[in-house]
Amino acid sequence: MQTSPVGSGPYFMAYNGLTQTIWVANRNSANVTVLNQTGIPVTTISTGAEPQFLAWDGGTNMWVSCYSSQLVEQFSSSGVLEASYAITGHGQPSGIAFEGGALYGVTQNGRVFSIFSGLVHYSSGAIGDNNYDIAFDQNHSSLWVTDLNQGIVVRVSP
Amino acid sequence: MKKLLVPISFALVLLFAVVRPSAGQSIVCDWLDTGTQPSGVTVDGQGNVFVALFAAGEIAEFSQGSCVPRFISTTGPNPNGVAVDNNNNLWVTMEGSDTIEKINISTGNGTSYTVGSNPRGVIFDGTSI
Repeated sequence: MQTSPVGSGPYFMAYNGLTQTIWVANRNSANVTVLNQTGIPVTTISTGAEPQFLAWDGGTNMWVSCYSSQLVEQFSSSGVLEASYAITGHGQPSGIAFEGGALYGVTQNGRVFSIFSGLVHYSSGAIGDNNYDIAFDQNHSSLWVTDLNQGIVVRVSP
Repeated sequence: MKKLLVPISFALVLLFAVVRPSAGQSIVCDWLDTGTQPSGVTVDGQGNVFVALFAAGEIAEFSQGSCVPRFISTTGPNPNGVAVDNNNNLWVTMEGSDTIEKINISTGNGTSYTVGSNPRGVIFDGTSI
């Protein structure tokens, strides 16, 4: 087993298959550490406050949900901030997943949102009250969302 | 009963307000009752859903097309992140015991690895382990 130094409060990770790098969201230090496949840090990228979840789009971008600043940030594989999207009115953003050309996420107040063509869209109804993580089901073209308070996982068809 | 009605109402909201099902797509179940505090979730290539149950210290597995969970025990408390590798293993971060568990999905047998404090996320990079 091997350990690698990252920032403070490492939270979640994502793998960038294009650059074969591992991205670690450091919640307490407001940055992302990028590691190569041997675990060596190659760069540190500043983010919004409390970055938590990451999602790779399968191409050149990595997406980061920033909890307390209520942002979803889009970075190039080299770490350049390309866009920043405010997630407002529905609580802090939590888990995110990328599929079919769109970024999907959940908020603490139970909304599912998507970012497509530079625009943020929210579900018209809440699906819970403390959503946490999200995963894509390729077999059914649907998303699964965990709800901590209700004790359920909900399927959403985008 | 109250707990049951609430998710059903959520499912209805999804069906009529959020969900836009594709024509001909079968909807098997639109919500799954996992128990307390489901945290991390992942879906494998066959459509099986795995959910870490933070408070219960278990993993709920919903086989593709099933709305009834199979519970997989973990040896440590507070599972959080989950990932599936190419060899039918489930990898789980155990936030309460500072370990990562590798669990054979078929047998439920696991191996525990000590890591740093309060591990959360886990990913699989696509290579064999």
